[in-house]
Amino acid sequence: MTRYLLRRAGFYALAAWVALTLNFLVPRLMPGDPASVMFARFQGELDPEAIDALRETFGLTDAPLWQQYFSYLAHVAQGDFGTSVVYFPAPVSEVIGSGLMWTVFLAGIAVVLAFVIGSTLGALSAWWRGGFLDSLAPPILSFIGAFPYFWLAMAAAWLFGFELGWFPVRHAYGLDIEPGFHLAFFGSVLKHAFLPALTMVVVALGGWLLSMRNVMLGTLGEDFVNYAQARGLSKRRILVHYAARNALLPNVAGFGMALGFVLSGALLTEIVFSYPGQGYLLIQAVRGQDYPLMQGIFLTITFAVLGANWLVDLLTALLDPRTR
Amino acid sequence: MAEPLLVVQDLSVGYVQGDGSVIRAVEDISFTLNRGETLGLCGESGCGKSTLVYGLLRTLAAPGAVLGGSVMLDGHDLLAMHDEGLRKLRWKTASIVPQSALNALNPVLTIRAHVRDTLVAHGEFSRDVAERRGAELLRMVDIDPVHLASYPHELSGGMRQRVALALALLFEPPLIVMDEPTTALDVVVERSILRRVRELQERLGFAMLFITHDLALLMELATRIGVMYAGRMTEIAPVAAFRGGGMHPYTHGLFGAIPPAIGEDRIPTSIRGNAANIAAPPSGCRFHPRCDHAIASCSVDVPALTRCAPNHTVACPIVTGTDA
Repeated sequence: MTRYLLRRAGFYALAAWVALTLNFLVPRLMPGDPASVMFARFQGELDPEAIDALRETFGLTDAPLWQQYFSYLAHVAQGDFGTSVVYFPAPVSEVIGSGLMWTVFLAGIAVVLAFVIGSTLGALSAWWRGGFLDSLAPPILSFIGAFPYFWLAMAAAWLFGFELGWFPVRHAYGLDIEPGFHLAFFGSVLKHAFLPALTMVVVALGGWLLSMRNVMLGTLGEDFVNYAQARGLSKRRILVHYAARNALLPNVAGFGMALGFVLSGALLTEIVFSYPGQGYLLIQAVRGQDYPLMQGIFLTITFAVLGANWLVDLLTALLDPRTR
Repeated sequence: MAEPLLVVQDLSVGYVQGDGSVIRAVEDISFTLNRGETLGLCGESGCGKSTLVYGLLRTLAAPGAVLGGSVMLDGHDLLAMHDEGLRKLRWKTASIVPQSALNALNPVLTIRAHVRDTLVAHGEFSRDVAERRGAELLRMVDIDPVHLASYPHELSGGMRQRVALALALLFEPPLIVMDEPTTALDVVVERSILRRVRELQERLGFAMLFITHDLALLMELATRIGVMYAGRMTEIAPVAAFRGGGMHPYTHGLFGAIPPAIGEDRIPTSIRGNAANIAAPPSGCRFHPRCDHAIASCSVDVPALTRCAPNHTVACPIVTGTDA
């Protein structure tokens, strides 16, 4: 098992290196450079030496490409992605750090909840095939899942936020609350995360439900389910450890994908709720042509996808002895 | 000694189609199995032998359903029992050795977990007991107890069938159903497993319902043999009665198809035509389109099982001389 995980880790390290290199090359192949953009932005308030200093900060020197490449790698290794333009002079790593935290919190919880609830409902639908749950849950949740999630987010913000006033509609926590380890802050965070998380969960439920239900129906027809029944095992034991446990395996791979896309996928939801996460930052970066910030965000997304996939490999190895 | 353990009367089992129509895969089967005895059920693929035994144990997965008749096992009316009562009875009174243990064992659980799950299902929660009993059983079927920690895919085909046999012996039930337990194995492994089965039967005294399409194998193993064709029993008799090739024309055909082992200069013959379509079986005697002795009435009258010698019943008016 350790060998398997190490091999996978090696593969992801290679993928990460490719991503890093592309991230280095692409901006350098594009016309113009961020320093000129910044120069234009400050409209002549900066003198030429300051521009050169900026170029230096961004790693855009006249040094040969390979030298730039190695200094770029060295910087990335130290977590140094340069300086943000939009949030000048804050370093990109710091800007991303705060956004990443909120996105991982919000979208992470949403994806995990959607996966757990959706898969459970799917397993139960298949177990009671043709029953009450099975005739209601799949069509309703697929219907809701067909809405664009930002539209649902806007509808929820309007109804529960503006009209009914049950939940706040912007920011990650109340501005009148000092962040820290106390109950009032956590309460405020949960209250602010509720609506955006709810819309993400509700939209994703249908997909998880349907895929779990379909796999589960196949699993329930397997010999080992019938054989377990013949051995007198309780229904609950068969449902959880024989049918659902095996039906879950193909879905875990899909879970890895979803987990990876969390960091970029929450983008529109974050815009609707002005949630200070990664997606919100990305929009700010694009608007302000903030190349260092964009690059930093793209890199974190790439690393998140790779990391999530490695976690899923670990999970698969734990769940399925045949992969070890 | 001849104390009846399993009494099956007029049992019909079928499959309910999507449009509500029913395919009667097993029709009006009656037989008695005494304690300690081995009844072999044989017939070609699709004759309903598996449907019969899974139906009588009520472990047939939907859309299979028992259509009528009665089954008394060890004094319990199986078809009238409540699900929970039946669950407790299963494995303690009747266990199954499946055709393919690879499909019957849960791929994500160890052999130990299979033993433990079965014990827990019948009220034994002690880890020590599970461990001790598991090791004891594996030794009984010539497998090193270290394999309690193995997963099904880590064992060879022969070992898996042995594990399935061990599981069937867990509560030393009075009845063990063998559903073609050695069909997927080579003859050497088959031989050694069957020898062990017979030794265990002598020691523990369980009765067997042995399903196979290998008539030659039954001649060695069984005390009585039932031959089935297209869902009906055509002939039941003690093994001795089959030494001369049986009485029913279908039984003759089956024996004619066994290649001679040594000496005899005889070419095996096959029965002409194809096995009856069970969804639309021929009228009258279902074998009549393929029978060399068929007369006009065979396509009209359904032949009844008629006693032609003590313990020997045949469903063919021509050989029993009961035709008008």
